[in-house]
Amino acid sequence: MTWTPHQQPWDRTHAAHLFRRVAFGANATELERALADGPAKTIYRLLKPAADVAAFNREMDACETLSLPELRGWWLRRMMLTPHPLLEKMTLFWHGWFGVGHNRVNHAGFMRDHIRALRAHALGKLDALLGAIVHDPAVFLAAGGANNPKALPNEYFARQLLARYTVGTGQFSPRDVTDTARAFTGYHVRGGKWRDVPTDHDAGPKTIFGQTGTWTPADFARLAAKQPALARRVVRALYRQFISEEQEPSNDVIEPLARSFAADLDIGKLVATMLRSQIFFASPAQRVKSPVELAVGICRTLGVTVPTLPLGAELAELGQNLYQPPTLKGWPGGRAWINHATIVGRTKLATRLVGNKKFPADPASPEFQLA
Amino acid sequence: MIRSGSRLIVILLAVAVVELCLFGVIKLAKQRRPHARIFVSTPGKTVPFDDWIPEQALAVLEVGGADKIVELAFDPAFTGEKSFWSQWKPSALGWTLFRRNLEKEMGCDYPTMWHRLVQDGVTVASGPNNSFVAVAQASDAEFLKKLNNVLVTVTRKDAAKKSETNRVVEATHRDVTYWTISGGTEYHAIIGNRVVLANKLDALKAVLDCQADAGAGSLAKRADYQAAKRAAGGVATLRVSPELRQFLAKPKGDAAKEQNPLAVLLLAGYTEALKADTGWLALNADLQGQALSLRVAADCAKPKGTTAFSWPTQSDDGAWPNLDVPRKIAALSLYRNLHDFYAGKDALFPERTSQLIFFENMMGIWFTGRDLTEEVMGAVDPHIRVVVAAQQYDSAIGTPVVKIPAFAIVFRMKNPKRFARISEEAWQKAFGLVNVTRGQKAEAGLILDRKDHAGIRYTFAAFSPDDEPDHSKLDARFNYSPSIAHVGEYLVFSSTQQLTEDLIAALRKPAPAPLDGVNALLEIDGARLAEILDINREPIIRGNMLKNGQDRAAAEAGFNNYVNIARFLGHASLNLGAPDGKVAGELTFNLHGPARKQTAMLKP
Amino acid sequence: MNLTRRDFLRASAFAAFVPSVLCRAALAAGAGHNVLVVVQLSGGNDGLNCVVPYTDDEYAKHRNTLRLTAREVLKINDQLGFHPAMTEWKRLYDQGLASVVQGVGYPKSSRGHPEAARDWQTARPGDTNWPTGWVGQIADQLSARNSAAVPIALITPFTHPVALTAERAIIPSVHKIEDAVVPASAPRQASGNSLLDYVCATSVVASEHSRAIQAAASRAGKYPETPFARGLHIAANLIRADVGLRILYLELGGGDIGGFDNHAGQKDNHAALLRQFAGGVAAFMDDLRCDGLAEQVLLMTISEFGRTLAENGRRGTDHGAAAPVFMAGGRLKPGLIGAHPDLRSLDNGAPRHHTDFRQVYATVFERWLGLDSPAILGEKFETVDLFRS
Repeated sequence: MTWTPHQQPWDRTHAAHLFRRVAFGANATELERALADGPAKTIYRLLKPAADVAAFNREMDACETLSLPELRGWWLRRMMLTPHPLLEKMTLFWHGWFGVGHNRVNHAGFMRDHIRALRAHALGKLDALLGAIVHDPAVFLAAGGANNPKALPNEYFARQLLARYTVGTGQFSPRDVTDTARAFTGYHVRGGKWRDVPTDHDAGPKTIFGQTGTWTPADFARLAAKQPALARRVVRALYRQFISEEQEPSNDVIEPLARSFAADLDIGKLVATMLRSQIFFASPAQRVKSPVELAVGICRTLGVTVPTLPLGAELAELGQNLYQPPTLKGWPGGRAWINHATIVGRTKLATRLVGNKKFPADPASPEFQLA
Repeated sequence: MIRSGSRLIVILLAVAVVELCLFGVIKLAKQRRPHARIFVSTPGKTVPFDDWIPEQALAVLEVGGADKIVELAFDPAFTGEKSFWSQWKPSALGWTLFRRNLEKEMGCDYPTMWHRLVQDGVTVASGPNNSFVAVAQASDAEFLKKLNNVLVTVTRKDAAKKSETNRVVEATHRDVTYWTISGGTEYHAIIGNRVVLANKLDALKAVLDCQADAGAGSLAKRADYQAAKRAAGGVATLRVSPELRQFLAKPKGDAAKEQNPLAVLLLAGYTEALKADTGWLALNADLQGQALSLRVAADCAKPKGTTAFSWPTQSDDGAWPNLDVPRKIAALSLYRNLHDFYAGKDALFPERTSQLIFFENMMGIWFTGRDLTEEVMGAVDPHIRVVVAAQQYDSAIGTPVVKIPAFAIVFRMKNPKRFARISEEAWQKAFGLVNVTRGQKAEAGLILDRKDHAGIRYTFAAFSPDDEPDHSKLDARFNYSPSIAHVGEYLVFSSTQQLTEDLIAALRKPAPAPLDGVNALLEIDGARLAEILDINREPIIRGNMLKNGQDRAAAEAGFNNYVNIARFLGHASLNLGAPDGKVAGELTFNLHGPARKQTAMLKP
Repeated sequence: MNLTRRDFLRASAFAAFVPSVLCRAALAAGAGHNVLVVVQLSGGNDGLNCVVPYTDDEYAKHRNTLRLTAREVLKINDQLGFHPAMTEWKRLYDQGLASVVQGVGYPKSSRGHPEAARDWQTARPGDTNWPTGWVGQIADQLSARNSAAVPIALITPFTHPVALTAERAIIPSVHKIEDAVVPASAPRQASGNSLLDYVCATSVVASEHSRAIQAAASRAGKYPETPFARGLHIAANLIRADVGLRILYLELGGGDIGGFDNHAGQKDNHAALLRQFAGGVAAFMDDLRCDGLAEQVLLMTISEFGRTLAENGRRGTDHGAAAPVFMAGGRLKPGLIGAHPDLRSLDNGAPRHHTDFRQVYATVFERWLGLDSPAILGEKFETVDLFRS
């Protein structure tokens, strides 16, 4: 099994598998069209839909308010109606990656803008994404970086940036920690505003990832983006997201993708490669649907929108509270979604959403819980 | 247009009332005992059929003006293609052919048939075990006989073709012939110019028995039904049994909700009255020109005990007429003794929620530790008035995107000299606290200031628009410039300066005479309500899309419906109280019209 | 593996014949089945108004509207008495089913609601970055071996408190007993897809649990008509159903800042809450005793702080420090544990603590739940003598 593109067979099962993993599922029309178009064209359309996605997202953005339950409701509605479901899936992926939650940020406006920034770069370039993150007040507040005074550089924040958000545990040195902390001095989030205090900034030379310079947060982003360790982490995480949550892929499988990703930093291209591959199509039912995937999948397959305000609360009870991941580690996913209590809630939710309508699968079956 | 509109209202009301009654009845029918008997009638000549309706009837609807309703039912507004009702028209070809055939045989068109069938009135009654009967008095006996013959013959032929042997049955009971042409899902009989229709054979037989026995065992012989009809002026009566009363009076939903102090303040007096031992509730519907009124009177005295705080103690006391201010959208005048209300809180709302404790903590700070029940709630007398009015935004400040109406509450202080100072201090503390809290969140604060208007010096807090980039699209907070004013013995808390100044003018007028026996008067100007909703249509529609999961078109249609209904209903007023010591309520609509002059509640 | 009730009862019968040292071990061994019920009193409970030092002059001097006299209190001994609204609690106390740990707090509390509540609920005072609550940590630990296990449930209409924040485990909220009911699920053959098998197996166990819960809930209990008591009724049914729940979390005080935060007009409001607390807990214990389950259950209250000795002029009290922790259960050492704080030696106007709340936690974690408490608390804490031997 390799990353080379999958060509044959291309049938209903394969198309459904693709849509389930990539797009929250598909209705009959979309499936028919996919079968006619073949895998390459279908995947291309999922990556770059013909519709005016920007206009759609602008319209949804205009509806968003500053109430967290409403933000949650609007995002779920956006997922149900969007012409670009892969973008929403990737936004949700990065939301889990950074684990920035309102319980720590306590500012609906910051949370709203954070998710919008993730959406803007979710399928774009990794350095642009990290560049946005290092200026995002929500990230500062969530990761303990509310204060970064020159006199006492915030090493806790630096550690989160390195271990959680970029290269990962064991892939950085103590020097990286101290100098990353120094790079971020002078940036604070106080009184609900993100402040850049030039006089509080440590302008001296810093050595991060073996490179020396008078680094600022933007430089940190740039340097981190190029790190092979980060590339490997992203590839592994995307493997979990799109291919399988059951087994850890070996280094041989990860390396080729990690190398090309570290070179061009193109998230969209990386995702495309993974989705086209044989490995992807050889892995059905190896993931547990997240609560959002479960609910939104049913709605998109049926072509309906449901009241999303109460749905947001219900999904929170099943373990996925949008805008509020439990910790910086995000949502672990996989078997963690399914326990004796959540299986009851998930089955009831799925059965209720399908109701009496004609649906291609049995929502009460254990198979339906998997993707 | 107005006339058809008012007829529409009559229909909608009739439907709504029937639905309400049936809802209550079906709920009770599930308990298998006849618990309530509900009788309603609509205006128009009422032909009493009560000597034919068996006394076991649970709900009776007497429609006197049935011919008008038939006219309306066939109005193109209802039957036309784009009409609201068109979706329910049976469109099968078979039906169209049958109808044409019927018209040919009867020699008149379909609407006329209906008109003649129910010309002198129809009464529908529901009974135990999901049985229904209807008695209609037609234009003449010949018409009925002919119609029946045609229907029976046609159905017999059709049944023979399909070999349905039991479809048409003819039999007699008490010397009256009855038929079924549907194999037992319906039975009907003709006696002179009256037709009886029932869905169960037992029900039909019960009606025929009543008729044969000259009304023995019918409603006409029930003393309580007759008493209720008399008491309500013979127009309509709703008799409510103890079980149904408990059911209606019991708060629905979460136990926590019934402990909402605000709900208790507003409604406890009425729910307590419903629970009390009442013989009957009289429901009266009246349509005079453009004024539609619904009156409910209960045969119960205003309750004593913990809910006595909502009832006037003096015989000619009551809520005051509502205040009048420009651009008024709604006004509420209450008689509520706040001291007694809060003194009874352990019995009325024992739940010690976080919000209640927070409220008491804040009041403790603002009123410098004074006892909340004795010294704060007890400092104002029971006449309380609330007013909501649309704003006219000051161009010097700017216009907010979301337009929230201004609102104010007016109390009368028992000791104005003393409490004016105490309340001023409390208000200033409150808004000082608001400012500090906003400052902690780096939000803009309010500037406190005082202003003279018409001889009254009042205090207000306002946001400064100086740092705002676009004065035509201000943040929602610019809807507020909270104020406090003392106008003689009146204490005014308002959300805007403009409303405060309007109220200062309104309160200068001589003291109003209380509305005898009234303890709540709510008035809503439908046109202005429609306006304020329309101005804020975008956020409301979006909110509905989220709450109901609708697409934009459906959400807009739903919203437009509400706005149109508000406009159509015109000026609405709800009067609740106990004139003559008996609890009563009156809901009036001045369709399409402006506000009526406020009057005391009409006595039944 | 969960021991059945029968196993446990057998073990404890055996324990009666064994010296105390081994008894303690037996207590811990039976800890595979012990249940902890946590009751969060939101707002900062005024300990001095619950366990009243009615003969103390300092108390009399500083409390005027709230002062309770010897005649009003429910006497525990000749110095302390319970608040008169706690009659049901006093009954439990006299029956040996309740105890009070006095003077519980921690050093350098900020005495602010969100911070102090976070401190009690993460058990890492002062660490604003600590990501999980102690209950969440236990959930993660207990479900590490089996993702499908649900060892903890929240019984309250309010949102998850900080205490329940976990990295992996999803802790369900039970609003009504019907939430847990699901149609029967038949076991299936192994499919070759281990993930699918996992989902199937979880469904089967869930439906077994559902039947057990339905059977347990069909027994009517006599509980007062308050939301708190209703929550405890659900808790009792879940315990009776024996579905592997180890910790149940409830809240009294209406969520948010909390109904115990009586800065003004404390007298009646606090009395109302204490009445609800006492009535609910007593009904809960009575219900459990009917099925012989009282010895498996420990109820413990937590509250972010106590309150000041002196009134604040608004007939209320302000944020304080030490307060008592109330315990109810069948294996407790009944009575008062620890001395009443000396009102002459106050900590900034409030009673001073002598027992760190983490000591209470450590005792409960180790001796009641059989867990490694330093792993949860970050350090070792001396335990408190809570349990009968």
